[in-house]
Amino acid sequence: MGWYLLRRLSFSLLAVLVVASVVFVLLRLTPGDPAATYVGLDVASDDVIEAVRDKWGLNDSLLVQYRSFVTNLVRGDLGESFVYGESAFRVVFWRLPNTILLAAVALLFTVLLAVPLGILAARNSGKTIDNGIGAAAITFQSMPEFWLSIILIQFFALRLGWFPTSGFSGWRSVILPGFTVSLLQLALVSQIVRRELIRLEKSPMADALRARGVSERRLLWGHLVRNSGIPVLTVLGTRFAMMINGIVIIEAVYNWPGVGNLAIQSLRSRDYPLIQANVLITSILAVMINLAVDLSYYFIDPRVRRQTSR
Amino acid sequence: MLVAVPIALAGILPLPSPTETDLASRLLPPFSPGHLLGTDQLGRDLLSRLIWGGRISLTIGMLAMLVAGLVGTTLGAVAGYYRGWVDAVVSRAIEAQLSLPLLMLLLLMIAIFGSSIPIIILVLAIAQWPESARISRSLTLVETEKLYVTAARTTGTASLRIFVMHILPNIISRVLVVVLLLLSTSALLESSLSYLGLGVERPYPTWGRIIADGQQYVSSAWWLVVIPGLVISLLVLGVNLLGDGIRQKLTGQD
Repeated sequence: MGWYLLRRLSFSLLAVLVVASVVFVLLRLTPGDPAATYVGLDVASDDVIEAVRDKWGLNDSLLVQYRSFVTNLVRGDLGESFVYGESAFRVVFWRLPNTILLAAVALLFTVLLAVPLGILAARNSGKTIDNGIGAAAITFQSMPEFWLSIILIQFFALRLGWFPTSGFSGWRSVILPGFTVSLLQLALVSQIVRRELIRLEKSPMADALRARGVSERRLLWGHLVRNSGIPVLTVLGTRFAMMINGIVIIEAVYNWPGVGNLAIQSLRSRDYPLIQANVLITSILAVMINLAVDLSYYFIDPRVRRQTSR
Repeated sequence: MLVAVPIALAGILPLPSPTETDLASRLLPPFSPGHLLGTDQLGRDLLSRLIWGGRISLTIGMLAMLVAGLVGTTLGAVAGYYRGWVDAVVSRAIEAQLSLPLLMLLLLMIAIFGSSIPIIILVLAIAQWPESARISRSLTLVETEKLYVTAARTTGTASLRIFVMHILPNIISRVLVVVLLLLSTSALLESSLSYLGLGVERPYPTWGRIIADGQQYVSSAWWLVVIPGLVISLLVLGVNLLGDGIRQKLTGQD
């Protein structure tokens, strides 16, 4: 167990470092000049731009810039954001809770929607209800996320006025974007719940329990649903990690003050340190979530525990 | 089909130009005379824009699917067949890509290299290849263990020949289903990039761009947003259903 963890962790760290270096090199290849963007091309003289470039170390050679980037990285210093004028790490870190909140709410909605629907579909497998759930799920999966967001904003926020249209102003702001994300995840999660339950229902375990006189109801809720937990949890965990990284577009449409929206803004203003910090922090977070999902098997499934302790 | 046929015929159909502006007939609702689906804020015909936009969106989606499918399938199959360090490298690359903030890196690439059509295709292909690599790797792993491969080996068939002549034909149909499904994710991703303003540059009317442009008029001219979105959904849904149908036929179950 310990060795496995160590191997996974070191590989993950290596991947993050490679990503950080790739981002660093890519950014330096960019045609735009951040100093000019920051000062404003038409107002500033060349001297001012030159001074800003000096201050940010952009006039040093690439190797010198990379060396200072890595040494600062090891010390936990990700540099100062060009635009915000403060630690890039802090700018990203402040927005991180918003993204995690949105992803968590989306995950909650996904579980609340997809698991019951999956169970319902499995119990009526092959019937109209099953087909209907399948069709609805695949329809939502086929919609562009930004389009679904616009439609939902139009209906729930503008027409009905239940939720704010965008931004962050209290708990009601999180519901609509969270709901949007969960609708997009519906197909995948509900179909996995359904497939697992159908598979388990035909398993020898189910037959054995039935032979012992366990009622169908207890069989489903007490045994089958619990046993389908692992594959479902795997999917939910990886989905959560993907949400942290991938709700960029939803955040942009809803103008959600999270790291995804920040990424798009910092790309537009060519804020190098901020982009680096953003990619780095979200990568590390995603790696940690994936690791946590793997570890959770150990606690949920006694079989895994027995295997690894041997 | 409903989406694909008009797009293929775009050159022949008698439609108004997709880029010709006519400020006198701005924001006409659907079923106006001469404009079946109405016009946008500059008086351009929506149906015509959708069809021409579809040409670009679909071409990009299909090329991205081809590149991702080809690269992913080859890498996956080679990794699954030869194992060893090739497998280690490919598997780690797949794992790494699945746990990293891919979208941000893709946006970054576009910001750096510009949003020309080849770059967009490349970016979409990078996003998609692990999917086809994973499936072809696992199918090859299973196939290699089968008796007929051992039989071929014992009769002295060359390793490469077994791979090309026996294993590939056996996995290819199931791999193709997954590759086909990449078209739907490509189309969705392409429209998202266009929506964010990072897709193919103007004046090409891609579907995502049409929606982004129409968004500010959505309360007065709903058709500018609703109809292009429906077209994308219809295409993706069609591809998804087609893929599912073929898969069910292949495996004989659901």
